[in-house]
Amino acid sequence: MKSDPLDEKIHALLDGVISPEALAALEEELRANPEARRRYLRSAAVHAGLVQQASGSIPSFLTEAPASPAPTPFPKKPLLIALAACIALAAGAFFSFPRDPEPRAKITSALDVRSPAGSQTPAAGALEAHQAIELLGGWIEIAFPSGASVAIEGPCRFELQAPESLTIFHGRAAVNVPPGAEGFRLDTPGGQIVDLGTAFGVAVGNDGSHPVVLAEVFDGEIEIHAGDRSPARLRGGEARAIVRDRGELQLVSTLDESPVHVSRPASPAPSDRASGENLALGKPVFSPGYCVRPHGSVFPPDNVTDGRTDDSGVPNDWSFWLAPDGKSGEFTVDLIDPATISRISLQNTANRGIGDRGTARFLLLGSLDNHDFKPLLEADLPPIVPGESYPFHDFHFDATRVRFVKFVVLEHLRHPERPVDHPIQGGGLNEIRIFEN
Amino acid sequence: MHPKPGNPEETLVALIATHQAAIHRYVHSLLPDRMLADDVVQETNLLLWRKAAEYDPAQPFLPWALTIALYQVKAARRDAARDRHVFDDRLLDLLATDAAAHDARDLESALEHCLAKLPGRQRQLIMERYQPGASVQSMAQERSQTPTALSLTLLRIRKSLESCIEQRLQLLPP
Repeated sequence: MKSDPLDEKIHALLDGVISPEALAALEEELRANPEARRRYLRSAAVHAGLVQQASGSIPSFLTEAPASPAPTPFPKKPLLIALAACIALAAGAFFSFPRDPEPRAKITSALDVRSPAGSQTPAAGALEAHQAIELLGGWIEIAFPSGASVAIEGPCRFELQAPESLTIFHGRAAVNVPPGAEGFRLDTPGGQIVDLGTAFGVAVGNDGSHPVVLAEVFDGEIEIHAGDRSPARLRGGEARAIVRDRGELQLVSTLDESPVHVSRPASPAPSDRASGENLALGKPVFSPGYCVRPHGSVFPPDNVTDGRTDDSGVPNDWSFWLAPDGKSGEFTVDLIDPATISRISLQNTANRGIGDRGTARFLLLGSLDNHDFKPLLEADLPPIVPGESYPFHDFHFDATRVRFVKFVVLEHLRHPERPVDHPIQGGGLNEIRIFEN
Repeated sequence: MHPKPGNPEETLVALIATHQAAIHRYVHSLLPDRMLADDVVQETNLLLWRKAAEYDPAQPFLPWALTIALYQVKAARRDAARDRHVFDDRLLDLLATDAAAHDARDLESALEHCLAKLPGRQRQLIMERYQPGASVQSMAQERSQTPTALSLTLLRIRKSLESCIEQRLQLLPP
């Protein structure tokens, strides 16, 4: 049985499988031909009826309602139910009739979650719509009715705005979309990402004034919609950054002369947690300078005491410190209260997997007055092995009473395939932990 | 002033509920993308309710509601991602005029009747296609078919529903 070409185009459109060429031809025919429009609307009415039937969102009292639009004979109780539904809607809930409430996204796990003072800490369970959630740290996984799931790492801010989409204002996330859940949408201040199947990572940050959004496809395919540009389709292994350059929205594949990369946010492993009280956590850090490059590639020294590890973070909010271009660099942690210390634990950086910066050898010094420094330790710090986890390395030294701990990079890492004098190289560190013993 | 006393919000809610099926069908006809259309229906409901005070009960409700729905469809088109299949404003205006005039009362019950008359396998396939969250792409993948081939199968099922509904509606008194 051969079907009519107009029908084929109409039904391909209704099924969401029409090619751009066929769509253009269909639109032209619909514009020119009233009979084509009549046929389209006939098919579309059946399609709409089927959508309605399957979603069951039409409450039963509607079909029992009189055909006349006069409100007076309308049954009293359903009216109140409908009114309640409208009020719920006004309060920010989805428009759902009581008979068949819309399935909602849920938080399936929350680990080490820290919230700003005064705000409620999210826990496993229903996720409120239209309510922004902010995390200072930790890790949350959200499951959607379609089967799509999103893992988000703090610090972050996000909001559920529609049943099958999530808005991330800030933060790093991994999205997993199994077969049947294609079309899941992630909204960011820089653009929209539609998942056409399987998995991708995203990091939403800024360059100080405009959003900078990094996206990488781990497996499968996504589409990026940014501004007025035609959508960009990315396949497994491809990555792009949405940036603003001289006022123009750009989709670029390299940042800082290196390919855009988003590492997968991972749930915190127990071995990552510090043993003993880390005296450095949250303490101020100063340095003579740090790396500042365009598009939010800014790496101040207090990143080494922020409790965040593994080259995580987003543009303008990274977890690691980098020395200025070409410099080995140094920084000093102020413990505020003098303490007797005998151990540090260090996590190196690979500058988001690029492998062009980091610490090879360092000198550690201590001081009570930030003037006279005494050497505590000189040692090599192993580099991060690409594709492997980010280990912490412990270093012991003679117990010494100090308030200021200075970390001087003696030798820094550089990209193995770039010339020795390439300007993009330098010292760096993810995290320093300082212990009494 | 309204000639009749009573809470305009309550009146509006009753009208929105009565005409929900028509609003739903209108929006889904103009906007084949289901996710977008569902959002637009909800936004339209909300907007209608907010505009309760502006509604003049002396005027027929549905044309007023559909005008607001069309406005929301156009807004969605501007906001929607480029890949989504949405008609441009000029074509939307043409279709909207016809869609508003399209009288499809009783379509629901006729559709239910005709679905029941479909051969079991066809009914199962079409129901699966319209499950919330389902997509022709993933269904085709599961069946090792191309999406286009599956869409052609669905076309035939929907076409037979169309003619069944037409027959059925002709049997009913006007």
